[in-house]
Amino acid sequence: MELALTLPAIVRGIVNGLIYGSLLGSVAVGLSLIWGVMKVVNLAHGHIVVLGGMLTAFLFMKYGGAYINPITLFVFMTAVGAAMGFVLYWTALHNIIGKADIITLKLEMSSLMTTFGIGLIIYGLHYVINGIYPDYVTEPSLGWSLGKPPYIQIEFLRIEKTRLLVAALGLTLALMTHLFMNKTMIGLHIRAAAQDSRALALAGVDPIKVKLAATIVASAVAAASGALYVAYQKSISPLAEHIVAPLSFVIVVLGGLGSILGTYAGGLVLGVIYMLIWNITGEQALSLSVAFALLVVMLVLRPQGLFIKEGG
Amino acid sequence: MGITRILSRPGFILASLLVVITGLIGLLGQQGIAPKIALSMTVDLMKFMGIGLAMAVIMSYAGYVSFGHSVFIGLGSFAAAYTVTVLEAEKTKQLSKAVIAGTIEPSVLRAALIQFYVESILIAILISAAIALTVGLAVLRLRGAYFAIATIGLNFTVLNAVKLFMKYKVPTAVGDIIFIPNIGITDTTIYWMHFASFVATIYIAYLVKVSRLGYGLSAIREDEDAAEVMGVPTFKYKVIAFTIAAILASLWGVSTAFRESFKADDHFSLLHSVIMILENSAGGIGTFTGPIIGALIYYPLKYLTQTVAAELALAILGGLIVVIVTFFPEGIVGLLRASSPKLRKVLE
Repeated sequence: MELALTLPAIVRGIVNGLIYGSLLGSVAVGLSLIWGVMKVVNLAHGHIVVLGGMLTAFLFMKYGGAYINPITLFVFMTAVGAAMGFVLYWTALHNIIGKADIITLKLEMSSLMTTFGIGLIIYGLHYVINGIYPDYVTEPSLGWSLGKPPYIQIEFLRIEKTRLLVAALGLTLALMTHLFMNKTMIGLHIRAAAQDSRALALAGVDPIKVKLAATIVASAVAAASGALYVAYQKSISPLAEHIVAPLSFVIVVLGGLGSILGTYAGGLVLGVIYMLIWNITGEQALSLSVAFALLVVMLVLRPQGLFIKEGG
Repeated sequence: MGITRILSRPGFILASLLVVITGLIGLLGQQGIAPKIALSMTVDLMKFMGIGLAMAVIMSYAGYVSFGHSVFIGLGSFAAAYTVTVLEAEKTKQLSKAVIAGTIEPSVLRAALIQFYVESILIAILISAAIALTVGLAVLRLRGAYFAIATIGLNFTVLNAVKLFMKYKVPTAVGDIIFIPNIGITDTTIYWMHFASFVATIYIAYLVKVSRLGYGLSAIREDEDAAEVMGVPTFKYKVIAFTIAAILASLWGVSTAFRESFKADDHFSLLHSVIMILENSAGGIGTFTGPIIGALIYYPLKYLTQTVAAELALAILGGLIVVIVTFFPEGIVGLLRASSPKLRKVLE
């Protein structure tokens, strides 16, 4: 392993890290929402992101053109994700936590298992639809770009225009979720349910509907971010889940549960750390290893996240 | 508890019965009486029971779901592959040459394989115990989902660290795989390696259950704060249980490596953890018989789905998890125990 501790490597690491982090942040928002509101760690989250990505790749390869590209499909995936959220709630969550006011440890573990089960179904179905395991990888040659040249060059720094757009959309997605949670009535109900589900019921709001709404919103955001993932990576396979899901955990824990903008900021922090290590050492395995070690360290030392004050 | 009382308990008798049955199948296989398919199926079944019991020590007894427990299977497998192809590189080369030329004495071969196996086991135990102890001291302060997520983090940290290590320090690695060369491992050798892990796992898991530690773990599972108040050294017990569960899981990693070489992504896959968790929840939480019965349910189902609809196997497994956790949260043993006090005594 050779260290390339040069200025270009560091600048590249930071800039690319912020772009990648913006994508990762938007990917993790859905997980944070559902975890913060319902105390459910949704292990199907990564699979929903990848499903959004797979559908995007599939539709783009088949019908791709002037109007159908990963960015317009991004809007469509929101609808697909919402439908997924509906199914997820009624299959995996309702029977476990639908009627519970307080989520006990036992319910928490059960929901962990059921969401993992749903994730496994999504993962398994990819292979049924597309044939043979394990050689199967979609590699849509996403020749889609924003004019020529496809990148912006500033001295030694080269940024792809598509990725820049992805970063902007990632930020937009996070901001819109934040606004939804803070400025709409449903968002208010969802946040209220996170604090005291029983009090919300006393106020005349059906907690089941609120939980359903939270799951739908979280899944919609997750599937939409999957479309961004495809636009960024230019390829996707069901195996992408093994990177997307654990990285989302790291980000949510970095940013603090339930805080949408905190999660997005956590994504930026992780993106920069990840890309810096990768750029300087040239080892992706090392940056992944550090990222996951960070998860363990954060959980033990600062489970409330980087940006939330003690007790706040 | 006195030793004689343990020996006459139904759980101990069940364990011994399983050991005798699997031992007999092995002997029949060695004589060429039992068909090869019977051997390989028993090996699979022993593995599913074994990993379920390993997980039971932390998940079922203590109530801490170690979702990333596959990390110890991966580490065990890596330890075996590293021992055979790097630490004993010279010996492996000579052995492989002699085996291919057909000039090796059976007794020499057996001695060499036993030596490889024991060395691998020792190294696997050392690594997994060290990691479980140090990491356990930190993450066992977490509860519920936080603990589960932390162990998932541990799994991915170690997986990537191992990949990095393989790239620079393991010349025999081909990408993410370390192949174990042809050193005369036969179906019977594999069988006895799994059998050794099986005997160790089943008795250790049982002894933990009926020991003072086991009762302490039950108290932790039911109400940790109350247990602490009643004077159970909860933290110490949790760390010990986690370490034992880690060591037992790593034994299965070692035997798996001798069977199918070391495959990083495959052996560290969270799917192993899920199978362990599923067996425990299907069988019944807090029981010793639970994971055994869970394996007896899971293995035929897996076998069926794989032969009938291989590409659907994962999706079916997922559906199964949802149904079992949602509708049978107490598991089979739990239901049976609740149905009659007699069964309560027999099914520990």
